[in-house]
Amino acid sequence: MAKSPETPNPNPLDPSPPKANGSPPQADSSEAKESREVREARESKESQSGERDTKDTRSESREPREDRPTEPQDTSPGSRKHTLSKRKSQYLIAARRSPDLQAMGVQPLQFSVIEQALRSSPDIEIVDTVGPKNIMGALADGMNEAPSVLVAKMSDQKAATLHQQAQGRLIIERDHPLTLADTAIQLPPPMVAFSIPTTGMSLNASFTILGKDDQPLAGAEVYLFGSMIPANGISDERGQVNLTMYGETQQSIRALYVKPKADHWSFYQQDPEISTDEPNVVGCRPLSDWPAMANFPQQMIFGWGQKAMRLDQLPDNYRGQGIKVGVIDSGAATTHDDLKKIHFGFDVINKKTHPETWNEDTIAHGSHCAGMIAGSADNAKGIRGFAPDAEVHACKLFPGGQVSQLIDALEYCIEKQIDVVNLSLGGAEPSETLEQQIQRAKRAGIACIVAAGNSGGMVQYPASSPNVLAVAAIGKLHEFPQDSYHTQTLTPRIDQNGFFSPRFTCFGPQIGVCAPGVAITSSVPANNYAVWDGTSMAAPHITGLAALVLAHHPDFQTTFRTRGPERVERLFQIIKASARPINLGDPSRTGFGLPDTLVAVGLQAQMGMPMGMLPRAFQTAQSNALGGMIGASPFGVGGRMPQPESFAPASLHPLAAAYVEQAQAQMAQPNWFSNPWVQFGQAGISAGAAGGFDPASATYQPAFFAGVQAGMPFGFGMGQPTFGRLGW
Amino acid sequence: MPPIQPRPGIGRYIVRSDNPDQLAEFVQDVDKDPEIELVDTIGPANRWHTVVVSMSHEKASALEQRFRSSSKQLNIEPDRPLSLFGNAFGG
Repeated sequence: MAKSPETPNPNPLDPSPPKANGSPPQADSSEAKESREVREARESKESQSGERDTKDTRSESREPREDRPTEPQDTSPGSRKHTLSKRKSQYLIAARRSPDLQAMGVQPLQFSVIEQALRSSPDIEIVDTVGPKNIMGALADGMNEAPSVLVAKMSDQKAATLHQQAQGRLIIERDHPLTLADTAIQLPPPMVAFSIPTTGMSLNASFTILGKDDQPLAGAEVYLFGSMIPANGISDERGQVNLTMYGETQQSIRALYVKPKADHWSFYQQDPEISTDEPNVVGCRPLSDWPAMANFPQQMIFGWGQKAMRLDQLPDNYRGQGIKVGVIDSGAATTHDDLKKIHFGFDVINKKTHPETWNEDTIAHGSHCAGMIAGSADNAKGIRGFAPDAEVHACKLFPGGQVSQLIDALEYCIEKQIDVVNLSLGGAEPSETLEQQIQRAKRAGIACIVAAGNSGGMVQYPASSPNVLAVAAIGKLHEFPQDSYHTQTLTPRIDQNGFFSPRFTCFGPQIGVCAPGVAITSSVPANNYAVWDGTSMAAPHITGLAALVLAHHPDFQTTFRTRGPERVERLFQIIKASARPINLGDPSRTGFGLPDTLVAVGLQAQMGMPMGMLPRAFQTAQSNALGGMIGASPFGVGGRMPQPESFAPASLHPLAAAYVEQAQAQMAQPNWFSNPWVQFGQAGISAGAAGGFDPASATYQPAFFAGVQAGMPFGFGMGQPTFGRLGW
Repeated sequence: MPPIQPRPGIGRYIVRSDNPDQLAEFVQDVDKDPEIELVDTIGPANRWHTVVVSMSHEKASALEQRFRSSSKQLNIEPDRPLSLFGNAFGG
């Protein structure tokens, strides 16, 4: 199966930047044709010589392409001949008979003209013509012409071109497969998947998964999506896997997804051209093919998330030394070069028999999180973690973690006087007993940083607890290949910097901040790297940052040195206050925004503003005790107050608009900015003050001033943390 | 803590109290009750705040009723599974 010369963008939100010449990629452009010609010439040469010039090909496949970072490279293993590609889509085409067009003097195109034009196009295949079967149908058609609809196969790009050229005179729409309305509710749950039919019409397809230098990739998960339950399997040592689907045809296959075990990008193809006669070859790009990851992992890099939070600009001696971080997860594989410095842990699952097996991570999740938090910076390779000198304690809870075991793991953290705990996990329902343990941990000075959840719904527990810092995920355009699965996380919520809210992230008023959680590269066993998505990946960014703040921010050397709930609240405040608003129109998806490392550790109050230039009140202990950093001072840093009244609520998301209206009302109150904590009495650093649960009123107090004002003409800083009791 | 093997009609439950004496008293009762199995204790030595027990759902329901009607500060709830939030379908 030859790769299609046209590689339409499967994503309507095409993240591909313009090419160097400024023109957007066009499949029919001369460059594309030239590329095809070059490829055909090369293949012809290979065919004649009987061998492939592997050396040249490998070299070419590794060459970064800065101009088109999100487009497939023609010479990557997966894009050579026999490579699986997107099949042509089926479209319905008819002449538009609009009175409006006729009023403008535009006559409908004759069907015969349309058909002749399409048949003359070599890359359009006419599949069928649909018209009235009898005189009644012709009358219903209302025109003296039949048939009236063409069914044609073409690439999405071709369809778009046709649509553009027709200037409204043609109706062109994709021919969607139909399903029975009750299919969804008849789907068996995964645990009874064995009940799916295994007789009748079947589709058998074999796949060969190749990686770097066309080497077979073992252990890759391969999913084939049809109209019902996906088929999946894992590639063997030869990179091969056979999948069988019942009740599906080649045309009903919706997507192919290949998830390599490590060191390669995932591959996702919508409407794949599946062959049932020969193996479908899928090439997965090595991570180092990506321009930002050239020479990885031999050369140490900062992940895009670390750079977005400006970790790469932090002085090298800021490494989180002296801080203990608990990672309650699936363990941490100390076989990995980046995780060798982890010496402490507790296997909760096997605590009575093998409590020391915390360093065996069978599902890699904990290793991935630990790498982001504290990946070694000393081996000059791999990924740099946020706090490489922090003392990590790996509490192994998975596979099979239960609420009771999380309570046990937190008990370990209390005993060991852990400072920050990463919880990239959650459950379906709140737990009163777990909440009591979280409160106990907080009283002991432990800050719990919790992933919001991946259900795409409301924040899950324990992220929804008022005693933790909940972290939502964001992604960034141009940080992953366009043919990777990461594109499937995109939503229309994208800001001017390319940050977007992925479809999976949970949201709600409990979200404290957001952090990178799409296409995050980190360590996995035994000594490899993988690129994953999830709020699980977002939380460790904040956990690592929290370790840096506790180790290096002046507040925690003085006023908040003593362990206790006040220290935890202050830490959460500082992290929120450092955040750059992410303007996605819905603050419940991003909270205060994306925290900034330099601001959070106290090196800067704002971009380019040294700490010494801050107003004095900003640095006073009294100011701190009253949440001073959250008070008036940061507004002064930028040289002007934010002016919510200049921010038209009508132009905002309804939820954001509600916050702005509330802000405007509160700004009208005298002395509001001078002492924002007066309404809370002396409890200036209570949970309610920080934007949390106010036990007195038993309502949630959202804390989204900065988030609401995303896009306002001031950069960093943080506004009044609560506008009263909106109680969403 | 042994690997959790589901048994029909039997479930794991968490019992918690801020009063270690009351929880110790509950554990003593558990030792005498063949219908309840003590799985684990959590908390400082001899000052546990949480215990994990295994019993029938009916027994757990009866215990919950008993705790509610007594003056003791004991909470009971099912020991539910947790999920990791990484690799949102694949990553």
